[in-house]
Amino acid sequence: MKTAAPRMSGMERRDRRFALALLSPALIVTGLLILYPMYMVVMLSLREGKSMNFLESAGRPLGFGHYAAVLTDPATWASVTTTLIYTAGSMIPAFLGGFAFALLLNEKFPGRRWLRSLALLPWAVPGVLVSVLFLWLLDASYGIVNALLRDAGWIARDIAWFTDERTAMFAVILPTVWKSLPFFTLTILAALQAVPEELYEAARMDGADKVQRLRFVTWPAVRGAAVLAFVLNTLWAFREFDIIFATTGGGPYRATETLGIRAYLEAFSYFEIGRACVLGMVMLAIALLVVMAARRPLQKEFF
Amino acid sequence: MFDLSSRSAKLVFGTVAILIAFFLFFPIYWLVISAFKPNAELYRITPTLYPHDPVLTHFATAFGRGNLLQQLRNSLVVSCSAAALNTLLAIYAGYSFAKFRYSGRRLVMVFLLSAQVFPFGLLLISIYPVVTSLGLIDSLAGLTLSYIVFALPVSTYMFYSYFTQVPSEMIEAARADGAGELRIFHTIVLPVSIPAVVTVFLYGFMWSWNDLLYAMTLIVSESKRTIGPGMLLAYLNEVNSDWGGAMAASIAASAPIVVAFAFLQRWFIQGVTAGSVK
Repeated sequence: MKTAAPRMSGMERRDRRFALALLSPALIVTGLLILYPMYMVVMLSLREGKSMNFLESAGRPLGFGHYAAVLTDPATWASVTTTLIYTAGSMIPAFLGGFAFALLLNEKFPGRRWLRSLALLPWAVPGVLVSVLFLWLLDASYGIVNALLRDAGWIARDIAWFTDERTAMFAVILPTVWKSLPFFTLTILAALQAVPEELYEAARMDGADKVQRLRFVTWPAVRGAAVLAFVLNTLWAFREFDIIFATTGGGPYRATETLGIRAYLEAFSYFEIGRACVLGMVMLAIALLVVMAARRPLQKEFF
Repeated sequence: MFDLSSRSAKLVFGTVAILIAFFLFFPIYWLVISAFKPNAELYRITPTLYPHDPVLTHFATAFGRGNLLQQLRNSLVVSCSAAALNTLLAIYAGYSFAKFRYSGRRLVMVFLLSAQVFPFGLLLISIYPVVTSLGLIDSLAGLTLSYIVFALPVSTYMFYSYFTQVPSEMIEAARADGAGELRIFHTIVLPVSIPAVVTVFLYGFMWSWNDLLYAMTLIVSESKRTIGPGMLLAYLNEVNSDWGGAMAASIAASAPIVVAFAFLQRWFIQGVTAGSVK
């Protein structure tokens, strides 16, 4: 709280009213389209019985029937595992690659600015487009990836990346890494550019080698931005829908059926709204765990 | 930062740079050249690394097939209006959070951001009836309104973060001169906030342009279909064999984003940077 001692209380009251007036349009829309739907998901997860109709569901008795059914269903836990593998499998390489690329773009070399602009593209284009592109790159008959691997002699037969149970997870992770790597690069690069060159000079004078400079000069400077980017991207990957839905639809044999896909299918294909909402609550719980784990650095970054 | 004088350092630097650059840019390159290859060249067991015989037929078929042009126009209308609406709502809310002190301010903000962890797909279960009761189902207006869900929380935060860096003395001085609060915002704060406005507009535009799920669910009529579901229906099915057309349509679908970024990128990077690094 700022100490605006000489200010009159009437003035402050006017201020507060003005501040609320500024806030209210956003609040009304948020309430209608975000908070109310969130509340409904919680409520519907607690309504017993199956019903296709949203309004009819709302009138049913309360209970934990859906929770019991969903949480004892092995398919749920299989989806949890799938989601975690997908999220970690795409975020860790994207983070490391994005970090490395940021370090490289921080160096001065010809074409750097050009490269930086171009690097943003994968992040900005629609997920559907990314899906179409990777389906083509990894196409079983005419895909360039199979052709290159064949030429290199690493595979004897073409791989049907998206429809083979064993490779489907890798196939959906690849476009996810491609799409999220630039965001890491952008945010970490911005933090890197705020580090004064003198700091490195001083560390060099003190006899710090490359690894030590990275650890004691670079990392502390970018840690905040890196953690924030990692958490935001993880939450994003955690509820990613477009890429998986458009490429495998969760298949083959549920190999890529993450919680987000599963919840969508329950709600809009099987009309099991109660079950879908419980799955949503499971997702929320896991997401909150992630946020709690990163609470301290997040707090430092956000406020 | 690295000492690049030694040969081994140069080698490592170069190798990593090339590998990541290849991973990032080769798919883009392949997308572009595939759109210009004739079918005979496209469907070869050993692909050619550049179009030996470039043609424009895929663009003709992509635009001739279905309603690509209409879908692009629908997407443009929805994305621009959603981005404008989002910017308008977020800028006032962000200013309110940044420059005024009142109880519950923080709580509201945390609440707003917590919506980010909620799976968007599930919100549809009740956004659908909300939009229906407003009489906006299967309309571009309803879709525009529902896109607020994606971008508003983070946009508000971006503005908040930007406005905290605008010196309060500027505002205090104007207040002392007796200027009204709205006037202060519009004549003093807004002119120095253009980078943030551009960033948030672009951010909102991007979310709306890239959406698949909401457009797929809230729009039924073919004449109102946007580019996401349009491409899904045309090219992402078991029987698609028109990869050339798919690549040509992809180029058309990414063009607005690429153009927007090309023009506004400098500001965008400034804006995102202000939000993520303090």
